Amino acid sequence: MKNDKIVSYDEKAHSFGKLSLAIGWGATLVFPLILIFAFKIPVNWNFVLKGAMSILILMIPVGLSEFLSIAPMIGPSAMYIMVLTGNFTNLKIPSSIAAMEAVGLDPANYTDESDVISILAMAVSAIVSILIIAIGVIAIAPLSVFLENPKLAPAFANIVPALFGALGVSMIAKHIKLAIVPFILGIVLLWTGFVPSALVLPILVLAGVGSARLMYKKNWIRG
Amino acid sequence: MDYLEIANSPVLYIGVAALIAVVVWQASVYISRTLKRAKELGIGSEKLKKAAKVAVLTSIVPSIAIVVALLTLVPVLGLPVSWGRLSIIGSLSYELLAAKLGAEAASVSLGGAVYDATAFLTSVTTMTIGSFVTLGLTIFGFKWYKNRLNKSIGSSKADNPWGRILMAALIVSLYSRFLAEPVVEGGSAFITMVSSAAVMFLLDLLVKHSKAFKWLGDFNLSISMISGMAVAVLAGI
Repeated sequence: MKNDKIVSYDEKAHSFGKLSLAIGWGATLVFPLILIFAFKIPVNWNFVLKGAMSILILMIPVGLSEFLSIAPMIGPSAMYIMVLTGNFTNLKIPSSIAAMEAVGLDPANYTDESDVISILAMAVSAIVSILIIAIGVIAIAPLSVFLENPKLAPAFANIVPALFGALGVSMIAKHIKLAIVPFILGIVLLWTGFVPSALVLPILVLAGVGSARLMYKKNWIRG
Repeated sequence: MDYLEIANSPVLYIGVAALIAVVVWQASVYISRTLKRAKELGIGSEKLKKAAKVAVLTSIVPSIAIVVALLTLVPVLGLPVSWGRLSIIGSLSYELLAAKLGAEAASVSLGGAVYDATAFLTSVTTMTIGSFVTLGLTIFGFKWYKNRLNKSIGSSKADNPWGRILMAALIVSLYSRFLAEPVVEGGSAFITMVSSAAVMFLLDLLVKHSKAFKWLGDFNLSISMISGMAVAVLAGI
């Protein structure tokens, strides 16, 4: 009975998620459609095709690697929220992990309860982000004087190191054995530039999971 | 007509409204379903309130960074397109890259003297087409992929130590990617990361060992990030 409920809950999450993403992409078409029909800007199909080819060549491997590495970490509803609103690594995953830790859940042990907390955190984060951007737009003139001050540029250029420095310290300390291979490999790959930076994440995920499996089989680590 | 007059035209705010409406609608439906599910699972409202509060606090600083990104895009793409696009799917780097590739397809440079309405339209279509990759993969492949993963991990994760190790390995690998970058880059990125980590470590100690500082637990991520970013500013002076 309980399992049936979970299956139907997940099924509903998938069907609503797919519908919302399809509508979301439909909404992105509003901009080009307005430009074509309201402003009568002529479409140069040759340009559009060329632009599409160049972005797809870049985005297919990047999108695929992001999708394959991030999808296993979260439940269905959270994934659909994250894909629609973007900002996976700088906003949604950190919010979800911070919320789980705040209520005493282990982000590595993804239970039904973690799923609820994670969905709530990502949905709240999506709405907060929309609100702050809207406030930013309203205040754009006075804000631009402050935020565009060149003295503040290093702060915003380093937001990702600030975020992962704060989050990573406890996570890595908790799972030091699991971190050794991906962290060192990450330094080597980024330092040598052997592979494009977009492919570093999927390689680290494969190496991290592979080394974890080996250590688990050899009984070096326990779940 | 100059393309920026079109790009800043009020009609385009229909696009912004449509995108924001979809995000708010999706998030609200998931919140209401999740609250129902929380009731079924017996999760107390205190826990839910705490999770929501932490999510709000964690989202503030990165969202301000999106506003800064918006300021970068507006002079080139106008306010409505920049606002709408950064409110969903994309990030500054993706939108700028796609807009640039669109401009190159039209044989002009982005925002340059000959960047006209047709080039602007090509940039916007390129941004729109590129963002379908992740959406399409999720719409058509996510359910299948997730079901396969669930089967391979096992349905009962509570009794499955490998399931927990796998999740931890995935998260640690993601973190390693973003922690290794400042180490390689050095300079202000490295100083920021180390300062932010150090402040987080100290705050964690305070919260764990002193009842008087327990309230700091909700703010530790924001305080650590702002401290790290402040050190980056000081290092640049």
